[in-house]
Amino acid sequence: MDVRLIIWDVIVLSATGGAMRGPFLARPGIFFGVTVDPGFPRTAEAKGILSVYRAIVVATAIATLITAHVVAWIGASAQGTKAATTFSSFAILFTGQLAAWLIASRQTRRFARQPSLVRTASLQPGERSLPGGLWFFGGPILISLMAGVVLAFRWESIPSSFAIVWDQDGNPIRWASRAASLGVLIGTASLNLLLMWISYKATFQSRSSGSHFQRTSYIGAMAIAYSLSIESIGLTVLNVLNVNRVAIGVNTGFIVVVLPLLIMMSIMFYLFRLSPAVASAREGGFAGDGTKDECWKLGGIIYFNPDDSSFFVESRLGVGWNVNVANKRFWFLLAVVLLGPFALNSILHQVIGLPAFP
Amino acid sequence: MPGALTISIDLNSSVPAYRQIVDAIRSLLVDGVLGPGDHVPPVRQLAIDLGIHFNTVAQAYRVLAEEGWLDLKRRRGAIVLDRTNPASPSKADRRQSLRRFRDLTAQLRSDGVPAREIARHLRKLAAEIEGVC
Repeated sequence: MDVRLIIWDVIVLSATGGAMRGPFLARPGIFFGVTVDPGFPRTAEAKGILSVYRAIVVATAIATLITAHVVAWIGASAQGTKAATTFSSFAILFTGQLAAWLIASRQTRRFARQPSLVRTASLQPGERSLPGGLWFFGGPILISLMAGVVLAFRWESIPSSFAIVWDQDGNPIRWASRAASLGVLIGTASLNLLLMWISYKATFQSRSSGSHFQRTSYIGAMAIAYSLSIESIGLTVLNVLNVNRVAIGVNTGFIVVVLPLLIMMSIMFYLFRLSPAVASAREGGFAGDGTKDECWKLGGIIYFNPDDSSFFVESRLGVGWNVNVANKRFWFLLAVVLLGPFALNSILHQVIGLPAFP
Repeated sequence: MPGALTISIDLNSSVPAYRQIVDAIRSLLVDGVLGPGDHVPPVRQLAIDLGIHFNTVAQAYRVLAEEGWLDLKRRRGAIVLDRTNPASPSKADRRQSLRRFRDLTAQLRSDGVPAREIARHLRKLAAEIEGVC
């Protein structure tokens, strides 16, 4: 059986498990993105909504798996057909789970209650510190910098093109360019900087019910940053060492794919376990998160409030933050994220003279 | 968020948010909880914490600055000034202030708060004011 098909099955089942758990990750008083009475999830009406939601999620998972396996069984060997299969099964999974959530959210709105809009703020200069301190915060960038130093020292000895994937007979079947290594490193370092900026800003500048949510969300974001850094080592430094035939005794495929995935899945599992306890530890006496339901679109997925100066608000889906898309800085940031890689590639190619990254 | 140096506003209230902020901070200033030289958070930070537009907080700070309570500094937030006691208001200003006081008690009664309870709170408040002065 194709290994990629097995990986895709694991992804689908993991996504389904996450979707089944999703409604329970929000704080008390939020159900499918709607402000409700904290005791509502235990009522018969809520259980009915949940049953319908889960039925759609399971049906979506089955449809996704069938699509992927049937096409694979038919013998889709052409590259274009493989891509179409992946895209279509992903589209089924995404659309089905989103539809399930939106249906449940609409049904829940009949039981919505007015959230308390009492807001409290401290006038004291707060003592704000990052969980884990500066070393934990700077870790991903330090890792990327070390990988960059190794690349810089070995640069002249790296051929302009080198093999990165071999078949069972040991014949190279895929190559990468030297510029690709540099591009990957710059790309992951840029992503890490963005993640670290988000973590810093959201930790200090998001309105939240307390330090528990901030800490949990911060850990999640940093887990992604560390995973990216480790992946950048696999894609750059280890490739370089392989080129120079240095025996390192480690399968680079493990480093590049499996290890970061394991780290992220472990952290996400930890956060899934932690978030209900964090939600129940929240102080206060009122339901919801202090924001109006009308400001949350698509069943509590998108936050739009031009009267709120916050850039980040706590996510209604449990752990993490949402961006206030009504904030003008969001659109600037989006443009940077979308156009930045192309601009960077162009600069490297035209100004510095490196081959363009495909 | 417990503590003496906290303010609360209710976005469902008919009182504008900036007025609630002004009244809350002024209470702390008059009671001496905030003293000369103390910093209050920057406009943007307080706006984020309260989940409102920063223009609302800026308006509140401007009102307090006009009353002589705050010195507004960019980015570093505002600083509480050593405000000299204002000269006694004119008769007209005093009448207007007391009329606001009367309007507030009328609103409390229309909200259903019993007159006896209002009177009790007023007596308690009077005792506190006289104790401070």
